[in-house]
Amino acid sequence: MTEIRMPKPGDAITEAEVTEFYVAEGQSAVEGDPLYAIATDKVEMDIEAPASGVVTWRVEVGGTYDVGELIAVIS
Amino acid sequence: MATQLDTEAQSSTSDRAVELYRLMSKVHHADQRVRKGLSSGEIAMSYWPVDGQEAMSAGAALALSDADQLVTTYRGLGDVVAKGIDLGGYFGEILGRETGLSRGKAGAMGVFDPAHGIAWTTGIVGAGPLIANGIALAASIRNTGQVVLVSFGDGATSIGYVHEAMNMAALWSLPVVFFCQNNAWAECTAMSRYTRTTKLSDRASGYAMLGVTIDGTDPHEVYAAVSEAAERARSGGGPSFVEAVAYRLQGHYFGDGMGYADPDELAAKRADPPFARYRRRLVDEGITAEAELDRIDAEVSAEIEDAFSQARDAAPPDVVELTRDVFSGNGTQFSVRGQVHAAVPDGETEDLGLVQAIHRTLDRAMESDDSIILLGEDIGDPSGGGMFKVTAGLSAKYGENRVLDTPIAESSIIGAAIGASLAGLRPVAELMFMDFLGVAMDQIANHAAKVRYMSGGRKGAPLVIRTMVGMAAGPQHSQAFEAWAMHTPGIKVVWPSTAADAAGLLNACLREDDPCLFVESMKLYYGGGKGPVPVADYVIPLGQADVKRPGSDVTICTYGVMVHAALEAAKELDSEGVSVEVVDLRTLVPLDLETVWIQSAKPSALSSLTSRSASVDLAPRSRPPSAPNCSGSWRRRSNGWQGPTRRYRAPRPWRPRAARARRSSSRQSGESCDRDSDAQTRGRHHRS
Repeated sequence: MTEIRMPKPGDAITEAEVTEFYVAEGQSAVEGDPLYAIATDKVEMDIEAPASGVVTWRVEVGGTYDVGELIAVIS
Repeated sequence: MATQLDTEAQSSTSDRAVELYRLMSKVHHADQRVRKGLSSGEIAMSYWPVDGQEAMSAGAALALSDADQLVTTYRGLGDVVAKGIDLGGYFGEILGRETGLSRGKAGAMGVFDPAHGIAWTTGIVGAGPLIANGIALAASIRNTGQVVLVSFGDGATSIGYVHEAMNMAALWSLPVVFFCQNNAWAECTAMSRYTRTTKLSDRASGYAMLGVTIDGTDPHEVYAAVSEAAERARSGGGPSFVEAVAYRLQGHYFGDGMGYADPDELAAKRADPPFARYRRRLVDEGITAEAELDRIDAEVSAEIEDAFSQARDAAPPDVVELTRDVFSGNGTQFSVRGQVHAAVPDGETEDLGLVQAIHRTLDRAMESDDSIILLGEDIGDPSGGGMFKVTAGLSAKYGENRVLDTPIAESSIIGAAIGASLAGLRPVAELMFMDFLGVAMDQIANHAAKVRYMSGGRKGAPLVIRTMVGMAAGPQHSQAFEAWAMHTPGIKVVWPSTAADAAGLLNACLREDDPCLFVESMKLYYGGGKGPVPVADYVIPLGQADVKRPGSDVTICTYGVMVHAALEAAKELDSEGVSVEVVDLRTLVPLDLETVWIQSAKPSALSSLTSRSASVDLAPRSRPPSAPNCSGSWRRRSNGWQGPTRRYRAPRPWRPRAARARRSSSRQSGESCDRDSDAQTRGRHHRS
């Protein structure tokens, strides 16, 4: 099982909005492929899946979450 | 039937092909592991990905011998991993852990692992080649046979430093490979948006250097080009410029979504990454079985995972650690208390001006220590032996490989000195006028001053920068900028007032393990500074002020040429019944506050107690070096000081050319420190 937490894509960034899921709940992610997208005042970026496996989302699209918060689990 | 030789050649080619794969795999998996950690929130740090550039690092590293040296940049993961860095120390460093090579003080921008040929890493674009020259210079002087490969991005070819470095390396036939990793982006700017040049290797011909442009996604091509360049360098053929062209598949930094890239082009490049392409090629050409490549990947991944996870779980450095390693011996900007002040030796003396005293000191030092080399504009005998003849005769005596006439390019002079100091020499670099400090300031403040800190105390940059403060050449050739250096932690600042002090202090600088800025006053160069200098050799340790005249009513703290003005003033005031003490600071960093403050409870052995003080310097307004003395004196008030400290310094922003105005700018102009004081103290003390 791999925990996916909100990354810190810049020294000054403390939170980010989850803007899109590229893999639906219960579907399989492939390591290295885009998993979801985030947006901050500084960046909009795709986050790659750090592992392959079935995705369980722990957050909702449109929500803003702190750096380090649990976003999803891949198992 | 193949001959035995053919079989050997084939096997060595195939071994190389697999070795290139192994190195690419190592770079690929290390980059991937870091990005995986970042995207899953497992770790957080600044990171500059190398996805798509694996073949460049692998090909270059394999073309070098173990003893060859690498200088790289903040986007250096590929280079250092391929060169064979200690992985645990590397990951610890970029993660800011106590297990890091520099105990987490430098991060990815300052990776230094000399045991594995990683001679320096810089976070300043284009600064590496200047330092690489110095490392190569040392290798060349000592005939070590080493080659220095300096890696930099295409964006760096826009900055002057790289051009200065290429010119100097070509001029001196230094064993350097200028390895330009053209990844199509200068950070976030496409090449067509920052230069009209289409082939960056064309720039080499401007410096009579060989330049080639190759496919940076093909490790064999990179290996062949760098091997050729390295052999040329090793055999005395001088530097080459190798431009390897690829495409960076990730953002400039983790968090950069590459919104500036054409999405179709980016998608096409990502669909055919160099690492996967090379893997296919090995299998398709029958060079290696897929299972063997899987085995290599697994082995490499396990090694990386082990080093990475250990680094991730390591503790951050102790907070105390973060303030250490600024100066050698964990010294500070102030000298240690209670030191015994060295006396200039008795015995026979000779009357010398500053020029002769410094010349004599350099000459004797070079004779006894062959690691001392001199670099500077016009300093060699074929160029006149120096603008002020300080180095006259030294190139004839010690050879032009130890007394190096440089191009008029201050950053390359200081960069070469830093590199040479990293490689074990003790360079003395001359910056003809102190006004030129700014020209080389990045090398001085961002590199020389930070070597000790960024290496976690493993290395200092023992170099001396000699510079001169002029008198009458206007606002760009007469300035005193010692305050710039004083405000840069890591640099020692010395300014002698007499020929005897100059000899002893320069000897101290030549034995220091930190970079020293040695300031010389033009006014004292010849007749103006003439005085007795002991014939015997001696050292005046840094951080020891000297009472040039004892007194009991007021103390003047000053240094350099202003010591003489203070002594004159003291003489005048003596006839009016005022007893003036003159303290010559001699070194501004480390500053001898013990002598300056003249403690009331426990008077220093050197100074009698006076109750008023004045600080004098020649620096421009705003933040002069006299400021710390003033504020220091304020803090001492409660210990018996009666009057405020006054600062005397140049009243005008710059030193004008016009003679009358210049005289006025040198005239005493007092400013009481209590302007800066807080209301509470102002209420209790009136101005004197």
